[in-house]
Amino acid sequence: MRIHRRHFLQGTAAAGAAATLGLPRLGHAVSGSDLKFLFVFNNGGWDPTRVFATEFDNRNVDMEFGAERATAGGISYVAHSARPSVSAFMDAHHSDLLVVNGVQVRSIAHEICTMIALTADTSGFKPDMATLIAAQQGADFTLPHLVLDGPSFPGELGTAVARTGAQGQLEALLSGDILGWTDNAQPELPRPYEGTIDGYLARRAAARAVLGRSTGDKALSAAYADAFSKATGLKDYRYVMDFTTNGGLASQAEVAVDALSTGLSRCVSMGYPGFSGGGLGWDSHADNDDTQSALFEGLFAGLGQLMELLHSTPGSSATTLAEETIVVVQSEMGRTPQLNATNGKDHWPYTSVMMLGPGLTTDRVVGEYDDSYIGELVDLDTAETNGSGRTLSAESLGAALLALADIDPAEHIAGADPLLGILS
Amino acid sequence: MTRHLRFYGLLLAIPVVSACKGDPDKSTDTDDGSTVELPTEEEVALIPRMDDHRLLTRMSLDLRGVRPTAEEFARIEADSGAVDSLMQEFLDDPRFEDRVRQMYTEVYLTRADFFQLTAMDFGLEGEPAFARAVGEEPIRLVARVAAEDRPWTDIVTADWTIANELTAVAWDLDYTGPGWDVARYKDGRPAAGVLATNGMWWRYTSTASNANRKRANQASRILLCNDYLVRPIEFDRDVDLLDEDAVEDAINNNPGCVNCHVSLDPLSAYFFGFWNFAEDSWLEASTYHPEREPLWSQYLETPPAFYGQPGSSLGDLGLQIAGDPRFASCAVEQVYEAMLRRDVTVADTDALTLHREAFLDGDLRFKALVESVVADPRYRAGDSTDPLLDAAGAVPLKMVSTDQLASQVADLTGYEWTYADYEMLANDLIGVRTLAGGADGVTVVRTARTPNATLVLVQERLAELAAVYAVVQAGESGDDRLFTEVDFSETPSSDRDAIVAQIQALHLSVFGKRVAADGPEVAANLELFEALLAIDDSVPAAWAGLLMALLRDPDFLLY
Repeated sequence: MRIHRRHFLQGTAAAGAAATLGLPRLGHAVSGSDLKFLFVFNNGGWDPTRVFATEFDNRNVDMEFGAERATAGGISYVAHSARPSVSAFMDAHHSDLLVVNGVQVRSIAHEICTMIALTADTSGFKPDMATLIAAQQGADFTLPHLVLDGPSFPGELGTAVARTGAQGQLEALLSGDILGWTDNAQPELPRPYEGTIDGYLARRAAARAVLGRSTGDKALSAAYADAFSKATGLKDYRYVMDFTTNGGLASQAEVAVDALSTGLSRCVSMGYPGFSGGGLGWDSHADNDDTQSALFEGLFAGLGQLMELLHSTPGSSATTLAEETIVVVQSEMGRTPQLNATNGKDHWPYTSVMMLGPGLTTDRVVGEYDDSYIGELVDLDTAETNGSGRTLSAESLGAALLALADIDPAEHIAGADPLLGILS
Repeated sequence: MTRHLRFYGLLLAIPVVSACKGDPDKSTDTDDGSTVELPTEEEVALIPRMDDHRLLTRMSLDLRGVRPTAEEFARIEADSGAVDSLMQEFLDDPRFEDRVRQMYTEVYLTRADFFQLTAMDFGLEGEPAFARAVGEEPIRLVARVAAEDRPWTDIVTADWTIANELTAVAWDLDYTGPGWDVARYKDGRPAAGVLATNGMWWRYTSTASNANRKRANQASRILLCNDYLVRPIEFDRDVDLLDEDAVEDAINNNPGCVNCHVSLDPLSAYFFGFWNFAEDSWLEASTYHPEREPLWSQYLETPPAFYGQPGSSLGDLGLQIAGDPRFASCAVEQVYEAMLRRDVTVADTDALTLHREAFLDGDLRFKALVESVVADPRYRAGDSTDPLLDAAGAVPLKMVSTDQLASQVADLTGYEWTYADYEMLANDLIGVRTLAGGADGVTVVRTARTPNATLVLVQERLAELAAVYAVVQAGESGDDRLFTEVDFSETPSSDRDAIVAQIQALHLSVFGKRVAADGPEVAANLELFEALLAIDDSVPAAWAGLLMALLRDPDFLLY
């Protein structure tokens, strides 16, 4: 069902929309406000030394047996025979890839680190970057920030965020299958009723929107009319795409690409190996190497499929979706440089982030770890390591993402200068 | 890992914004940089009031979670002064307690979908109900204090809690029941209201390095509206957080850190009776440990104190909080925001002062506070072009919360949407709470105040289920709460008058509005009814379809 629908979508809807609207078919620089964003969150805290941090010469860091330094274009990374998908991904996508090492998240608690990594704040009351970016043009999208998996902090911008649900709740809402999700089963109304009632309510919503006299009444009524119109349109999406995933990254990638390519969403959040249910898959306090290796292999295999989809799907303001989409792959924290007594690694407040897409200085690794496996200071304007520079913080990285999307970071992240050196 | 012991604690020295919001001058800056004069309360009093029907509907939804009955509308039609006497009745309605619980859900954020321990850990069945009971413990205590009009200070001094059969068994409480009832812990914990509830501290746990600072901050945020985590302090990102000595030095000497830790750490020291040495142990997590109260000396360098006032147990902290002027102000702010469904701004300073006075004059009784806010012209504002509305922050229209949507549907139709014992609008494991604009208490911390596409979809599906249920019940059981004028044999051609009368009755029940038999509402609904009848030739189905349309109407969501 899914593949059929998605292929239909790629072959018709997106391409058709581009042709109809006379959008450019050749690649060109995409403005920040036209960029789309895809966030892949790795819950539990990954170990950067298994892919991103080539600390082979650092005596304080336990590198993995059998691992070796490898290079793909300008990217130096950790390769291992158990992780062929990592090397394949680097070879295929290094020219689009930026690795940021030594990012400080200021904590070793999952909850706080997750908030900092995603929102650049510790309160939980601030929206995450995906939501801020999505809400910037929220009126243009039916589901501005679609959350397939992983944590999401909508803050006061909750109306911009929609979760598909661990049990496929959004799809069930759209299809009407959710009418069967009840302890008190009822006969269903004839399906043709839906169109008739929708038509009646569309007129009601429109009438309500012009009745109000006060600013507050007008605004809320107009918001309802807009929401109603989008909800009605959203129901039609069930004929061209399926919002349910099997939890796997490849499955999420298909839905994400559909949502971006059809203009349904500006931002999509994904999770690996799956956050729903509160799991901390990467949290390898014991048996670090086996856990991390298998997860990195699965992650990069899924990312490879995601990139293939992005490259093979028409964009709306560029030739392909890949040329107008920023992919951010992150985890809330890193892991200690040395193995513990159970061959695990504990929480560490420095981590690495991987980004792909236009507008970035790609084929490049920025940031470093020092001998104590602490992030080096950097010149924020160049992203080069600089002993008299500034801490490479999750906040400065988040600020750079906002800047990339043409949003003034100062309005949202207090006291953090953006890492402008990663922007091209 | 000992190097990191202080780490998480330092985080609390980060950021902030005071809850409220500026000096009480009579002007404020706008987004475009201009300055506008704020109206005085005398001017605010001139704001045009909404009509009695709308006001009664608003009060009923806010205080009981349901719409007024036909009899109640008849009372205000006979006597306009009955609006305020009905408000008093609403405050004494048993459903008021539920509404307070719902309002405080968004403040306490304890109603999470799951906790570290489950019903199974206690040999119990019913995971959804157990998680619900745990998360609702503190807010049910708050709601009981409000409903019984006890002094508000009871929420931090009470020697009792609220439990049901599940938590009573799990935590071995002194409990009579049945259902939600007053209960008492038997483990020697201090009398400190919500501060001494398991539900509160199962939601807000602490790591060793955090040393209860998270708990202290939540107590401060919830009870004093003082959230350390939103303070606008620029954090010194160049402190070496891996160096324990450097961290210790920063906490004690770095202005950015000292500003919070000087008061937060002594507050944190109060919570060591809840210290847990085995996360997975049901016995550890269920029990308060008086003997662990002195553990602060191992994890913090400061003894328990509340802004300079020393203490030794949570009982002392409860009394100290109750005596803090911010405690009453915070309650005022929370109720004001909940009733107006918007954030407090500097323009509200005078209003908050007035409501605070009413609260104090009422001996800190919650109902006195609610009564004052409900009387506020901003709350009662009608839909008007009067510029005073915007200047004063009046709210002529607002949106129901997810809880209100569920409760008004249940009251009107008798239908409660549950699946596998989960309340579908109150969880996200298999439900649609956040899709409907609800808060999950963990990552989604605010309920939606404006609609979006997914809320409209939830409204649609809920409306269909409820409408069909109502018609089936009316047909099979004679439930006449909605269908009083027809017995489902009438058609527009056989008995048009009965159809029209039923449509009028539905408008009164569902929207609180009397519509004329020859008015546009009836005409539009009659047309819809006939269109539905033409599709399926089933009168009950057509009524269900029409009721579904009314339950999906914007006026059912906006009030």
